[in-house]
Amino acid sequence: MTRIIALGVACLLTIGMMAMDDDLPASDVRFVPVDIYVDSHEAPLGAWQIEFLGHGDVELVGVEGGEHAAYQQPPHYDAAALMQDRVILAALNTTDDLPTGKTRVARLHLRVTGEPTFETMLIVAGDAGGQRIEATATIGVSE
Amino acid sequence: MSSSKRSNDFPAPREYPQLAADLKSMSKHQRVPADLDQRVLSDLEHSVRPVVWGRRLAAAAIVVVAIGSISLFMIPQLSMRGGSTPRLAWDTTADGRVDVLDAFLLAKTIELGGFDDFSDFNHDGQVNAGDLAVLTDHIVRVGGSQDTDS
Repeated sequence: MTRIIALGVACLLTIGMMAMDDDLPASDVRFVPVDIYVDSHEAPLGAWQIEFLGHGDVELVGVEGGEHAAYQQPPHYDAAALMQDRVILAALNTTDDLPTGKTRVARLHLRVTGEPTFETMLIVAGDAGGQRIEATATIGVSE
Repeated sequence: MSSSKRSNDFPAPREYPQLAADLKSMSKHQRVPADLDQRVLSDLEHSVRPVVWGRRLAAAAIVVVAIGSISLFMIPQLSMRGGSTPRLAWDTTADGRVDVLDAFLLAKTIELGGFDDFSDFNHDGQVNAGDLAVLTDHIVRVGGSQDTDS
């Protein structure tokens, strides 16, 4: 009987250690800020909308505004996108004080594990009159 | 074509031998006039014509059905290209897409104090920041539409 109990305890210890091994990658979790840039070239940036995707173990935990006064407030995004790896961001400004060229329009704070990759796509950008303009969206990761 | 030849082919009725003999003798001396032949042919053509008209009517019906089918298929596509396209919900710019430029236009409209019944998204009888919030929420909704949602 004692042997059976000892064997059971040994099995439980083994299973417990295996479970701890599975949790070990949790120590690899870290928080990464990702900057979103939009380059409107010569045109003043009156509005922008992008989609951001994280490939891998990624969770969005926060959204900040950009560098220019016109976009210092956090952009609009779906709060339900928190805890997801995909988010649509959009912002607009109807004043005359608008950035041109490449400007950081938002900063995302991500909780990542491992080495995820990120991707962003510009949905649309508009000028001071709300007219569609050619622009590009890029990301910059700063550890 | 000659009626005399044809009448000779008929057997003489036994009940009227004298009449048959008289008719035979008449047909030997009298020829059928050419205009009567023409009339008989003309009558024959008229009797055949309904068949020809029937075919023409069938062909016309097929053409009408084909044109109707093509029209039914094409008209919606043509109307989509035209200015009479039904406006998408949320699409304040009426460009067939729903994106931040719709919100931009709405923001400008609100700034200028304009009112557009279409943009009363929260159905409170006014167009204001509340409608702008509803629109921007829709635009950034993950799984929502950029150009097809209603």
